[in-house]
Amino acid sequence: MSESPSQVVRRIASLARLEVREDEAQALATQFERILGQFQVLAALDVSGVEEGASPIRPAEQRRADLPRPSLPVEQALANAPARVEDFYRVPKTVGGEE
Amino acid sequence: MRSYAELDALALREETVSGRRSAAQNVAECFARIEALDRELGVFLSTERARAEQRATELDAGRAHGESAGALFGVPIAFKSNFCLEGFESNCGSKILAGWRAPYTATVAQRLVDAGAIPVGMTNMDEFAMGSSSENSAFQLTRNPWARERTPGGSSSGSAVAVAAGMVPLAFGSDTGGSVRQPAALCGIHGFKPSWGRVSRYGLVAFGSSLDQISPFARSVRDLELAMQLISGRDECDATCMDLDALQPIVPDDEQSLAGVRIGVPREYLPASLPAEVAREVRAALAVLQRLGAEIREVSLPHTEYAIPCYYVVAMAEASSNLARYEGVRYGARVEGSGSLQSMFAATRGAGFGAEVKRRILLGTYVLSEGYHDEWYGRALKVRSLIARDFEQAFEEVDLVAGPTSPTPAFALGERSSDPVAMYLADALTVPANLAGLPAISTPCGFTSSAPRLPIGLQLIGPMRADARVLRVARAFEAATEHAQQRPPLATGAAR
Repeated sequence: MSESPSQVVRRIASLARLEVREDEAQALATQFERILGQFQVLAALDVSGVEEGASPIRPAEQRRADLPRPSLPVEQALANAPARVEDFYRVPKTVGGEE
Repeated sequence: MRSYAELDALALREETVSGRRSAAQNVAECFARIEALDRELGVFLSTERARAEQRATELDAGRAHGESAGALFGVPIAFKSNFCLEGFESNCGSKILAGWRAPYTATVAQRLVDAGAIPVGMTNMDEFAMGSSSENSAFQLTRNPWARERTPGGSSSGSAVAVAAGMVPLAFGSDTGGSVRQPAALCGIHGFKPSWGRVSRYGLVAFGSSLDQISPFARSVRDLELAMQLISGRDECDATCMDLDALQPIVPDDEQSLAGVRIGVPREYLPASLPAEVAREVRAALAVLQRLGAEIREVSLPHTEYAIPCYYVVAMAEASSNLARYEGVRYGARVEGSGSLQSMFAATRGAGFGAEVKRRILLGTYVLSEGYHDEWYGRALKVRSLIARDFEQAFEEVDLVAGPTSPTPAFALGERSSDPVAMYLADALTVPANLAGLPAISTPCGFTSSAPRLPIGLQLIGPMRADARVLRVARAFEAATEHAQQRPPLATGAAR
């Protein structure tokens, strides 16, 4: 596996659904190398037997009752939609299209 | 009578409740000050004058009819632009959310409004809270009121300057890696990050969910305590919000005595590389704490040097996930792309996000991707445990940890904007408290002696849930010194 740094950026950008221009990809590739190079100190640390600390505390044990309640009215929820058709978000065709 | 800009929130509320002022007058003076200063300082992304005036009129009318006055009755407040307040523009400093008006209100904002506070507008910030200088805002720079060519810090830049410049006595930001404490230090005011889980995050736009915490700025510690009493506590809309007793200020017999308080100074927080002026003022602050009766000891937090890479790996990973929601379907800008759904997502995100946000989304996606997850994200979470363990061990010997908030005073705008790694280092002393979830304050502790005269902040970090202890020690320090009374040089005809 020998991807070039800018190939890595383009592959990751595709996973992140983020369009990057050619000049951006070049600049990002350089920055990736520099930033991840600095972060390599993590690799030198002995972490055997250490648990992963994903969050400072456990989420609360208590949960609220699972009861239906009013949610945002449709008009309010759709007020910021970039494009809508009736009570729906309008998006490009997804079935029978690409991929 | 002291002027609007001189009063802290408690004093302003007292004057308003006693009838020496009205809520409407407070709003008028607030906007006079904003008009006089904001063109130069770049604090607000949007103001809501008509709403604020209407709210003030309602409060004054209620008062005239004998309604009881809330704890923030008639006090103008401001929010960072990543808080949701129904009808206000919460654009997060990003083009992708330009014009987005929140359809609901954050729990914290609702509790403040219920206490009689008056939101006046939304403040500038680094895009999606990613930055330490305001330079990553898609819309404008915010300038340091102590020296206009310098940064006020970030990412809660506008909220910090709103308080430092006397536009509002109390403002709110979010602190993911120091985004409230660092600008508080650079602007000469107080900023407090509560224990993770003490304050509901419902209605705060998410960046790094295991790190984010809503945090207040104020010109007095007692205002921070008041704010914390109002915003703390369980919220059924945020399952990570702890069920804690209300945060009551500890009022000891002798408020200024710190007898019996053990304060640890991590040797890693005062390295030889620290600028002499910062080290000098922090050491002087420690001497003050000692004079008040505290015992000062050296401690060690041996994994401090790993905090920056650990923090950035974790924060970028969480950001890459949280920011997946901006795809041009439900809200914000949309760019159609080449006609397919996938190309619309990519084109929208490519056009809508700024350079730093893209960098972090991509690095975050990378450290979570197949083949790299264990090496980067998994390992960073283990290092996070080691950093938290360092604090636990230190807190077996001491009650609080103290050191500088920022390794440097305010740096020049433009100085670090082309070098992400240099910018990340601004957070070296603030990210450990976020990684461990600990309460921490930045409180003014001095100034540089070389020109320009710039504020320096002292950071106090407490054990998990010991928020009241951190605030109490900061209050004693504030009472024994005059740093927090210093005001930046502002030319305004509205300062009355």
